[in-house]
Amino acid sequence: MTDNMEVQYRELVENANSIILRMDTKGNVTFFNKYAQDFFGYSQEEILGKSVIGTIVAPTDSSGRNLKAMIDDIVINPLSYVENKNENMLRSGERVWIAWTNKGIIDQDGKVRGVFSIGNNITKLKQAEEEILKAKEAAVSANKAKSTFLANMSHELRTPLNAIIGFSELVKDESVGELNGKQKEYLGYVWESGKHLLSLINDILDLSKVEAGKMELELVEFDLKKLLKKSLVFISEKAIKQEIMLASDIKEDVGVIAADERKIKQVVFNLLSNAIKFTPKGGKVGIKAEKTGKNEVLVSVWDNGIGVEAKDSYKVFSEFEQIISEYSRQYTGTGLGMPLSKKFIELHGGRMWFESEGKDKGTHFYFTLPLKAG
Amino acid sequence: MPENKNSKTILIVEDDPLSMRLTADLFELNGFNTLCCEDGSSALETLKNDIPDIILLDINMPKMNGFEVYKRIREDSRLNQIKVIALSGSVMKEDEERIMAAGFDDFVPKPIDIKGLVKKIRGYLSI
Repeated sequence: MTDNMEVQYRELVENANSIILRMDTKGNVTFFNKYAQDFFGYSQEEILGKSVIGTIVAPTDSSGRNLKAMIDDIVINPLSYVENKNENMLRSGERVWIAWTNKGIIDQDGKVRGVFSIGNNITKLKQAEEEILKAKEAAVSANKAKSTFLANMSHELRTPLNAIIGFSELVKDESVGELNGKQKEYLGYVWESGKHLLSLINDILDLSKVEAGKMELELVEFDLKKLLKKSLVFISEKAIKQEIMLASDIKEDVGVIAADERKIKQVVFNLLSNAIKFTPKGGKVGIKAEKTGKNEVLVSVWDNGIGVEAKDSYKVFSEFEQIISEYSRQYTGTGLGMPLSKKFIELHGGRMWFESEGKDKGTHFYFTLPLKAG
Repeated sequence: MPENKNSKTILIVEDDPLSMRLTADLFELNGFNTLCCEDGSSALETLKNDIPDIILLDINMPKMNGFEVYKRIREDSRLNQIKVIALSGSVMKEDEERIMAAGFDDFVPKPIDIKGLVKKIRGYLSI
């Protein structure tokens, strides 16, 4: 190498905006560039020949990690530390975080003679990372507090609801004496509203469980075809009351699935009662189910009712949003049924969506479920 | 309500006065004799003299909770064959699992379904 080139290389190393150092197999510093001197606060004379332990590396870091053992290992086994992040120490005692790349200096016999290291200060990055972690922990604990609050609130609300629902039912059913028409009607409203409040509380609890990732599915094998047919029978009384015709097209190949039966029942019932709710008298509501090619079943609940206008479509799966219309009857939903249904289906590894061509064009709701447990 | 010699007797342990009134009246309307206790220690006191046919026991009570009362009932050889049904407003799955794991014969969530509860109790007593 010519002198000129050596000067050029030296300048490159000395002026680099990175810590560049070399140490021998005992961990003693044999090279320390200008940037390192300025950064750590040691002159060349002060550091050369000294161990990195006690100068730029504390024997243990702030979290108690044994850094002496780490250095002892690096000088024997540099390949395991090609990229290594650790805490370092300035002359002032201040702790900093450095991202190092280490390379062993190997002699002709293949023996490690030292380690060549380049480091960059990542203290700010590390602090930001710690702040993000702290923020995440705070969010997790806030969410936990919310769940605990909801569970407690749910429990506290149940005691007065017990009296509201129970006593109004006793009186409404004339177990304690005859009522006139108005009394019976009004008490019916008290009882229904109590039940409505209860389903609201249950839905909120379910939703918070889903959001906290605590909703567990109780997977059992059951015949989806049977469940769908039963749901139709169950809803038929409501349909007759609203003078709505029910249609069914459930294919024979819709068979046994592994899913949480109670939740699927809840989803189907919710879709059917919504379809009836948003379909005027004389309308039609139907259910269709078939096995699709990709090892899944596709279920759709359709109606020729009021439909969903494009401007309202975002509301369908949003919490506490109900599309207000002349047909939506008071006290018939919690505003949580659809978002909860969608979450239940997604927990099973399925999808849920809807299609509507617009006002008064009816609505099709679809969901899929994997044939094998997802 | 006059005591009916042929009626079954249900012991209701419940600290909330309105819930107690509701459950007690419900069973009296359905022809049961009722014993009412507003906390665990008075229930254990009552059980020294009276042996009911079935027990409805609220879980969340101050001082002595339903689990403790249940344990004491099961320790008493005169009482360990009586069905004990837990009543609770804590209705999370883990609450129910904890109750069933403790050995209760059944769990009824609050608010109670009054028709369902009467039917259930009649079922246990085969009446």
